[in-house]
Amino acid sequence: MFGVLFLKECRQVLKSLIYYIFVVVFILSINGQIGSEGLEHLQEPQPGQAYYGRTVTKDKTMIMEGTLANLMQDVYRGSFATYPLGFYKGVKLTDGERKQVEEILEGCTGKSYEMLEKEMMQHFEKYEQSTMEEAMAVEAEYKLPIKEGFTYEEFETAMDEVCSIVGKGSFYEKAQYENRIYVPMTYEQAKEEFDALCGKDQITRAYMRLFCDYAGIFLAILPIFVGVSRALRDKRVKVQQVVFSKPASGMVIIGSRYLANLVMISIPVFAMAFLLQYPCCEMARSMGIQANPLAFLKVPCLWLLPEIMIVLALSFFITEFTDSILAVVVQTAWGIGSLFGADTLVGNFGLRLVTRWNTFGESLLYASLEKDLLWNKGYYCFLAAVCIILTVIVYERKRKKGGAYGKVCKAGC
Amino acid sequence: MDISIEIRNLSKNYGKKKALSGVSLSIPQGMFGLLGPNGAGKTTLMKVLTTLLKKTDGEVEVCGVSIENSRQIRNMTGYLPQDFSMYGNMNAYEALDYLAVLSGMSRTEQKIKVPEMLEKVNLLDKRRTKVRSMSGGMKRRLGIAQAIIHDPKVIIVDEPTAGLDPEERVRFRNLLCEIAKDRIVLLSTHIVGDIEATCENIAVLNQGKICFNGQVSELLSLVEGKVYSVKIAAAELDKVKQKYMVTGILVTGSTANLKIIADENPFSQAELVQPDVEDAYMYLMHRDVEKKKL
Repeated sequence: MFGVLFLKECRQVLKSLIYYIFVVVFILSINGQIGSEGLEHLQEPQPGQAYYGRTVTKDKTMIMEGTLANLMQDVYRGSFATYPLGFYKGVKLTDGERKQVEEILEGCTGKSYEMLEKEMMQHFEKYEQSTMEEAMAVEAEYKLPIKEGFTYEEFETAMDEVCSIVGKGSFYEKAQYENRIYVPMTYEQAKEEFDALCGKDQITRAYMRLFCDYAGIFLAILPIFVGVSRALRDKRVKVQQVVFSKPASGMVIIGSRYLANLVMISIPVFAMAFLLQYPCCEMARSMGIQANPLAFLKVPCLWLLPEIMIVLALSFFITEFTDSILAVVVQTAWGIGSLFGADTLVGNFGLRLVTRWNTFGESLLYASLEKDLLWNKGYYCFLAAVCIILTVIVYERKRKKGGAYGKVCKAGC
Repeated sequence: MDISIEIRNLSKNYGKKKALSGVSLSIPQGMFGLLGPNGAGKTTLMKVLTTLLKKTDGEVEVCGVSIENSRQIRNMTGYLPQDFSMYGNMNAYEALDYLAVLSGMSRTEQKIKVPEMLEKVNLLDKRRTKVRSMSGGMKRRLGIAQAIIHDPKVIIVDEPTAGLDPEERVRFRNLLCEIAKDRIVLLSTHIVGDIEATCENIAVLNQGKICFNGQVSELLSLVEGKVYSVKIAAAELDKVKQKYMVTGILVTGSTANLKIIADENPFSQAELVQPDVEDAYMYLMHRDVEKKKL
């Protein structure tokens, strides 16, 4: 029964206007964002080049100075971006807490907070910041020197204290600050990076990660509309009573609908990935490198499928539970929050819904962060399964209560 | 298999409101009419029988299976709700095919049964018509096709003829009679004519309680010798209406032909006439009120 119903649901999706709007918006959005960026400049680094790009540093002093500079700016702004369980949460400190963090800064640098603030102002006033790039460069250059004899262990303890004040999911967690401080690359590093890009990543995988970065932004929001539309459809066209009265179980009905929508949403995503991968394969061939022809399947499967799964599953659940379009509001806010709350465009996955990798390459950094990504995606796959089970439970309860879960709940509770 | 529905002391409350109160019924094979005014609790009873609502109290058995076994009950019942509809972008064939899958039919069964059912309800030549383009009558016929496609022992139809034109209504009633040959068809309606034309056994539900349960002839016997036809001056109409239960009025010029229900002959010129189900139903619905009035 499941297979036949699944095919029928796929057909239903194909007849839905919302689906076609989704496909058009998705294709236009991706086309407007992604180009052949990086591909045409791809060449093996040569000794003596002026600039080889940048890389995440593992130098402990640099990590400490960069992290403290970030902390100083957060204290000055009075707000901290945190992501407990992947959801953005802005944290504002009380006067007492702020004082504690200021003391931590003073302890790490050996300077008074007033002095640190004055130096920071001088740094930012020194440079022209008329464009976003200039402002980012000035911010990247800002470092807070540590006091003499200050050890990395002391720094770790200080950051743990900051975390206990700010809460979970902040930049001051060890896994975060150790992978977030960038420095210019040396020739050797650039060569190693290039070899990893052409070797393990076979160019195509790296390019697909960039595709997934852009696609992930739109897929945090667009599938909500497809999901809400399907979940509300029975009520809107008054077929609930008939469907409820049939022997098919809630698991079969909801499961087939969910899977059909998931597959239909994924088709244009993989199709776009396939089309965009083609020039990349050509480039690899011209360089004598064996491209990975299945990267368009493998990379989006890991990066995008779990995201589509959770967005769709949550939209099913919220809509089934509330019989309203509330999911559009809640999930759009979540998607936008996750996107704009990210403090880096490359890595720092945590439990964020939108995982960013806005770069072509950085293969070595990716290799070091792959485990974090797997955790993130695994977490959302699990959450999607939970949402679908909850949707089935709500559906079955509605089925036994005349289709009015909300009203019955209000009356009963 | 025992084809019957047994309802014992069934109650259903919505919060503090009692929609059904101590309903007991035994429904045998064939057409069974459930009559009652709007808000009497008919739809609630239908929904309990189709497992779409949980009962508050009492016992219900469909063909010997307790109503708690919802999966089994759904397998042996077909339901046509009051406001049946399907996805507008599906045609008649696709809609029935979709609902056949939900009824647990295999692909092979669907291929045989779907055209067969469409033919039965006279929709085979309209199989490509989209649901959104169907008339009310066509939709109801599609509704009955989906209710019987998995060959259920019990078919529950809720107000199936409301809003249909007279021709469609007659056609639909005949269709129900045809399919009631070897199963129970429980027809809920507030249209007395539907019951009169199709059912031998009926129950009348009012304010959540059964106020009559028996054969049509028994219902008619309640008003035997109590229905009179009388001609009066049209000017006296209001006065008569206040005093007697009037079930029919035909005004021609200054004269009004009335059908009156009364225990004794109300006018010397009144003639005793043969009662119909509508008279009996009206008597049943209003006898307590009229007694108080008198």
